Amino acid sequence: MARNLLNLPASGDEGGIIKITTWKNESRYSMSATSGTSGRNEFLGNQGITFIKEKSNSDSYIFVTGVIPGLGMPNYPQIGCMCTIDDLYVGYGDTNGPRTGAGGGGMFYCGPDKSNEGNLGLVHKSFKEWTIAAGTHTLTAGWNANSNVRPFIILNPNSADQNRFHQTASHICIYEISKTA
Amino acid sequence: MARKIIGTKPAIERDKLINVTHFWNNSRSDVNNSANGTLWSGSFTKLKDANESWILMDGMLPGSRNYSDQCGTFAELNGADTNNDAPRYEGIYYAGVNEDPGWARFILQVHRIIKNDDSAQELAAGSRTWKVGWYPRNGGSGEKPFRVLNPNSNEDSRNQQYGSYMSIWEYRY
Repeated sequence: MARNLLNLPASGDEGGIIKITTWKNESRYSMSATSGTSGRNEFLGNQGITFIKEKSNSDSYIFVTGVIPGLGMPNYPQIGCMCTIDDLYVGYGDTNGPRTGAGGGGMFYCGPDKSNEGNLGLVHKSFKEWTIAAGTHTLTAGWNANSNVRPFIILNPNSADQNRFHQTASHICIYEISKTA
Repeated sequence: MARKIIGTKPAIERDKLINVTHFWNNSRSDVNNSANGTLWSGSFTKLKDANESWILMDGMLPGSRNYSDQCGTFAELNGADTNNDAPRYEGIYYAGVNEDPGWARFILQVHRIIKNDDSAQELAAGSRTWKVGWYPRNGGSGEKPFRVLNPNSNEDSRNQQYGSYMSIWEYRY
């Protein structure tokens, strides 16, 4: 009765998705060739995605999906791709996290080794094993490499690159998912 | 009680999944050269209106044999803005091997977030259609992302029959 009076959902409704932070980036961006951890946010256009996690680490976890358009592959495609939160575990051999080094993967790209061909970037990563508290956090995606590299020449290409392109854009969803039923 | 008076939704209701419709297509097809074209389409029912729910178009279409380096691929719901550089060209991309033989494979990935900030005309409740296709910005003819959709052993004897998936996720704001 109390729930009806207050119009609160039943406790059983608390599982599943708690929140989705959506992010779109339609800005064309020339990628920089960088080494070390300087490239850790380049996949998102040299920026992170700020989001607020509503629940504690014991109550929820983060899951991320997305597509990232690129143009031209100037480097051999093994450059330490990573997707991380709050710059956790970006070191090559960092064993403090649930997986060794470079943010534990979860981000990759592929395409031909040509300057005028599309390269497809994808993010698909669960952070369920990570310790992420409630509050404000920053998601980054990029690389940690031992030489100056970049996966694409252009992020989010448009008609400035080739006149058949419309403006392309990266779309990413950051899901906060309940750990409880 | 205060929340009910103010009329705001409780946090637990935001971003809740309202409905999801899944589509599957394992029919191999030769993709025609065209100034614009449709790779795949379908229909579904959106349960809430544009101010109550948003859509995530989430799918993957396998292709084979290269053709156009770029061709203006789009993912849309009916009613979409079709002007140049419109939102329907965002959240979708493809890449693959820049070769003609059947072993040269492609992935066309769709992950388009459709919200009423820029695409309300696609989000009305009721029966709706979705479409994935291409429309080159320069109006050029004879384009396509790849030559074969959902390739099979016809392209390479090592292939099984591949198929495309599309999921239409409807979430509450």
